[in-house]
Amino acid sequence: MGYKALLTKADHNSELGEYAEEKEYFDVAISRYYYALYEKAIYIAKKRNFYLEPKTGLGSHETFINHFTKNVSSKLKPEELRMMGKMKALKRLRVIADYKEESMENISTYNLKFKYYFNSINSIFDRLIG
Amino acid sequence: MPNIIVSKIEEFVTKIKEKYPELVVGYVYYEEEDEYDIWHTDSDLQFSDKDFAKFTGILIKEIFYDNDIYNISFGYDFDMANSYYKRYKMSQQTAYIHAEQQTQTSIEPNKKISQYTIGSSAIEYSSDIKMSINIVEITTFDKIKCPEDLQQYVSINGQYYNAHNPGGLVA
Repeated sequence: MGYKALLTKADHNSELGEYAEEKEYFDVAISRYYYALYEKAIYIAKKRNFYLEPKTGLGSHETFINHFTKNVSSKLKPEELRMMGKMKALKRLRVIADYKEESMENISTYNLKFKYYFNSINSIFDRLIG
Repeated sequence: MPNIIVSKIEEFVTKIKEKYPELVVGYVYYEEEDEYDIWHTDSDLQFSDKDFAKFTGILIKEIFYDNDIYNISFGYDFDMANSYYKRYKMSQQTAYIHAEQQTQTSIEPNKKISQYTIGSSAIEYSSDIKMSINIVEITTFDKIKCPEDLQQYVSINGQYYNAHNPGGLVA
């Protein structure tokens, strides 16, 4: 199955994200949707042969996302390019959703802080997956 | 913070404000991740304006990515926008006065600052601070102990600095 298993995992996380969103468990939705994106990014990097195992610990996702952006930037339109950095903002929201006391309490805030950016980046990744 | 990245951020913000002068833009540095998040407060521009999307995308490529700078992000920030507009709303009851505005030379003791002119240029980007809303924020005369010349004072995160010497905390 190889690295295509990552797409299956991403699909499963997306499915749970959608379910959590319907139930208005917005923190759970953020967590699952973020990992769906991250798994797609790893898949794209492996498929295009630029994947590097990131260092573990603090900043590992940011390091990978920056490396990812560098390697796909030539494939992106300007309006897509500006979205790539926001994946790190989604990661910060995921950390809050998973570990912090504050919670995402309503759909309006959830949409403005997370979902718009998720949808945009997810569309870009789906195009890169092809 | 590496100066080269800060100077690129300043260049980026300057070019955005040349085309969108009313847009409030700032940035935050996350030291642990070594990441710069450049934020703005206009959700309509972010989510609905194709020209803005293309314009800022090209700037990001030319200013950052073409210079091998990837530890940045840019976009509308809900929390920063909320924080900014709460302060702005408060300004309707009090006052924001531009740090370099030269029209007011002195403030009379016990006179409400809200009686002074509030200009549209009250909000300016500053390279000196991370949370770069560079404004003078004063509620009443009493809030600053001895402002003989009010426009010389800048409030940054609740502390007052001399506008002509941003490193010098004055109150």
